[in-house]
Amino acid sequence: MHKFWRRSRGYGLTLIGIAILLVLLFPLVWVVLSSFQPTADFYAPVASLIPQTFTLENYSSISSQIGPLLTTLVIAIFTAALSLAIGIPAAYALAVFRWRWVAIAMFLILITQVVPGVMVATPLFLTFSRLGLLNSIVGLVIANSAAGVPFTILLLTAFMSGIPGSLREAAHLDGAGEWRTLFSVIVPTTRSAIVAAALFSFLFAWGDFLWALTLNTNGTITPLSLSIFQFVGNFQTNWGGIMATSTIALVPAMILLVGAQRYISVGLTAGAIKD
Amino acid sequence: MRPRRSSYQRRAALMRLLFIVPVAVFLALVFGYPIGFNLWLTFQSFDLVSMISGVSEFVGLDNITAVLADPNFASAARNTAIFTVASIAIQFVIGMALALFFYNVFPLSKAIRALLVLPWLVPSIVATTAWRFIFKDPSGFANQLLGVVGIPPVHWLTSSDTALVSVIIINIWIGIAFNLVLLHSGLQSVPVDRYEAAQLDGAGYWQRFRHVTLPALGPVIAVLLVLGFVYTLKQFDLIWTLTQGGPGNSSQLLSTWSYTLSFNSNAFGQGAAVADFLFLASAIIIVVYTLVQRKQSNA
Amino acid sequence: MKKVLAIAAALSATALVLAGCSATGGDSGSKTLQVLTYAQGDQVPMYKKFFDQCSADTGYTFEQLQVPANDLLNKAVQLTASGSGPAVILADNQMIAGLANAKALAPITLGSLSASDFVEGPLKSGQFDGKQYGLPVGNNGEVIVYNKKLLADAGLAVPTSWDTLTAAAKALTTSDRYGFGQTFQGGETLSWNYWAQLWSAGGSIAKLDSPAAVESATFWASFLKDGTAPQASLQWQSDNLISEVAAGRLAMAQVGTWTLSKLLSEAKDAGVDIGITTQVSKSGDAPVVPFGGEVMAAGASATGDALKAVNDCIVSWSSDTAGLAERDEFLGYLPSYIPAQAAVLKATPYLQVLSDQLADSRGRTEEVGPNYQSRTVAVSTALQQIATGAATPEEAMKTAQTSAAAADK
Repeated sequence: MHKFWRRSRGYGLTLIGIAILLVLLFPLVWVVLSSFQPTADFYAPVASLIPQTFTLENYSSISSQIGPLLTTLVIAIFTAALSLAIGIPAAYALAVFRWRWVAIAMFLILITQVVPGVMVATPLFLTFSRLGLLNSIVGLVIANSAAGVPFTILLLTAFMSGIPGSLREAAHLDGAGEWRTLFSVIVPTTRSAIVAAALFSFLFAWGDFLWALTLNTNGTITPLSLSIFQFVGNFQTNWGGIMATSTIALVPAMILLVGAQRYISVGLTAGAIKD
Repeated sequence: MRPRRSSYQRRAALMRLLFIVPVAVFLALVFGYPIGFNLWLTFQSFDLVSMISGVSEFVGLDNITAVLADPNFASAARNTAIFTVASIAIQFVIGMALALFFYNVFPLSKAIRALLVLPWLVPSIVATTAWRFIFKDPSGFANQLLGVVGIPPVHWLTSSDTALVSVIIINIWIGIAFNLVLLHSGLQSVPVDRYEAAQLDGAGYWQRFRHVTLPALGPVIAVLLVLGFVYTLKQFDLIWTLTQGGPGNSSQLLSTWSYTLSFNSNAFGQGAAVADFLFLASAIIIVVYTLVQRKQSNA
Repeated sequence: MKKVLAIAAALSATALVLAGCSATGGDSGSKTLQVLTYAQGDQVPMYKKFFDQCSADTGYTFEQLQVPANDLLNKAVQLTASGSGPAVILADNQMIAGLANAKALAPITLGSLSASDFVEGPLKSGQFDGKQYGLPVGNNGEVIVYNKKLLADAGLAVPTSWDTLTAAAKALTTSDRYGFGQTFQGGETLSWNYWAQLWSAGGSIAKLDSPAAVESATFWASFLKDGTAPQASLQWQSDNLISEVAAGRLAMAQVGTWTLSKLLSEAKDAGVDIGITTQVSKSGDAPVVPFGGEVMAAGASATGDALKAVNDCIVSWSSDTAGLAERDEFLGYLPSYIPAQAAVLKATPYLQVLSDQLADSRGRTEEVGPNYQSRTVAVSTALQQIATGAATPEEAMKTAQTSAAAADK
């Protein structure tokens, strides 16, 4: 009897969870549904939930979106990698080295987060053009990491400063230097936060539009957001094309999220940071 | 004469600096130079002509006084304050509620929670396209829903009374995922035995939340709010793609106004001056945050 | 964690290879000339055909790069500053003053063409400080379309003045139909729709808080205020206008001539008979309207032989008269090069109204030169403020003048 109640409570929660999901994801669900309606229907006076006429015309040129999809994927993955490579050591240093100017450093890193991207755009464009980084994946990875690196540091510093000093001391007593301590003790302990940082850095790059627009000057590199934007006109907009391309952008994102989810949910287990 | 030990210590200190050299170089390139450039622009008569000729004049505080004298400044500052506070407060509450809900483990809970992150993941242009049709005037989905309960249609994005509210709603929608992930991650780190101890003491759900969960989440919440603050303060894509600050200036924020001044009116100095005000506002919040944090870690 | 990293590494390696494949084969050295444009949709292949011909004729490779219309001016200057600027800029004619003033353009010659063969205003729109930097691609403008049957049923004459347009809009508005609409979305389109009214009241773009400016702005926003124009038009693009007019939900609309062919064909399919007339003026006299259309200009980055190739290409747009007629007809433009006009008017008689209007037209930058940009931003904001009741016309236009003047040189 007890087991029955617990199980049905579980399914009840699942139902509530799905309801929450449907409400919150409604806009995206509609993007997918509407990608199957003709562009003319987007101008109908009353928007309809289910396409009145079903069509695949919006997907007719979809093969041309494979390049942009891969470009976006490469940029996002390398952005996450670079953010971790730079961010993890920095977060460790700021969390445990007890430098007197840590507060100032944290302040400077936080302050980078308040800079509106549009204000960075022009100077960064000029710098990148001098360094030959325009129209390159490397340039976009660096620019996108501008969001990922500070985020990683802030998040990981918060988690790493929660780790008891005794863990580190034990590693030192075993003869490990700071780098080894970081990679063999601290990183495994904070892995869920690290995956979260990587995921968010990835997301910043995945959704980026500003850098794609400003740091590309000759159309050789076209991330997905830029290729979606090309459907938006000064006088008219190809809504059908936008919806179809957006749907293509959603699918890998969904797979990634569901796939990476359990690494986030592992969390910092109580055992790892027990005092 | 210093003891020999100190050279070893100095070497160790230098080794430690290696941990932050990459980040220092990176931040100087991506932020240091642009911020310096922006500050310099604030005091220059920089326009399209200067961009190619490289010639501009020092104009003192002219750009700042021009911006302050502009009637648009007050409204953009007010809109930014409302936008930021409302967005953060509401997305935090919803994010917390969802994080607590998903603290329960039930069938599919992980997959559902994962999918909830999608609004954050999609390029903003996808999100805003969808919302454009939800808020479509007069018969988008939002008005259809209101019609069911007998409320007359609202001109969501096309009225100066509701445009700001509409973009706030969308910004909250985007920000929920961010709050949910961090708070949920934080909840996992609250030691279960503290809950058990509180339960033995006869604490109810609300009391356990107040006295165990919230304090334990302290650092995460602080990071969340500060980051939420700066991200919201500079939110740009969303407004730019949906309303461009309009109609009129009713959804104009400091960030979009700065962009308009720089890139549409070609008044780069004035745009830079507005961006300076954004720095200033954020800097104040961040100073408070660092001071509080320092006090706590010293305590 | 390790597994995630391994998967990520494998994925990125594959993706890198694939992306590398799709990205190669673009640059072929300095022989590539960039064409900066905001052309869109089926205009892109049309222009591509033209520039491919230029490539074949000159031995250079002309490549289009599309940017949003509002960003073009800035982007062109930025690219030029970085040393990799465009060789050809297809700019809205109001941007030429700003581009030339910033030294982003290079002067050209008319080659085999004769200045007297061009309509004067449009030709001058390619000039700055006495130098010719580009030639007009063709001209467009805003006209008023109306539902013939609805007007006739209501016993209304075709409106020509502020009073008759206001009266007609009121008479034609019903519970499921609006009287008069246009795209009231912020930006250049909104401002340039309004200039003819500002001028007809005796105002000037140089002084946005003059009584004439306040009066004309009040008139122009009145349709939204009194509900004869839909509030939704604050977010409309031309395609919205087309579908609303064709569906009979909008009795009259001010539309760009480049949308006419689509509008007329959709209206015909829907069985709606459409009339076309000029924009209105305060008194009802023939209005002075701003002329629109792009100028194909030479970018400052083109020098020496490259500039010569660019010059030849720009001249060939008009010197190939038959091709010009075909291209402008496709764009919904009237050629600024007079020898090609007859052919276009014959093929698309509905452009006659545009032709009539162009006789009395004015360039948008004639009054304020390179200071035009800040004015168009300020006016479009003010018009929206008046239309939504967020500010009185006096306040809104005063703010507009203050903001615009602060950005003046």
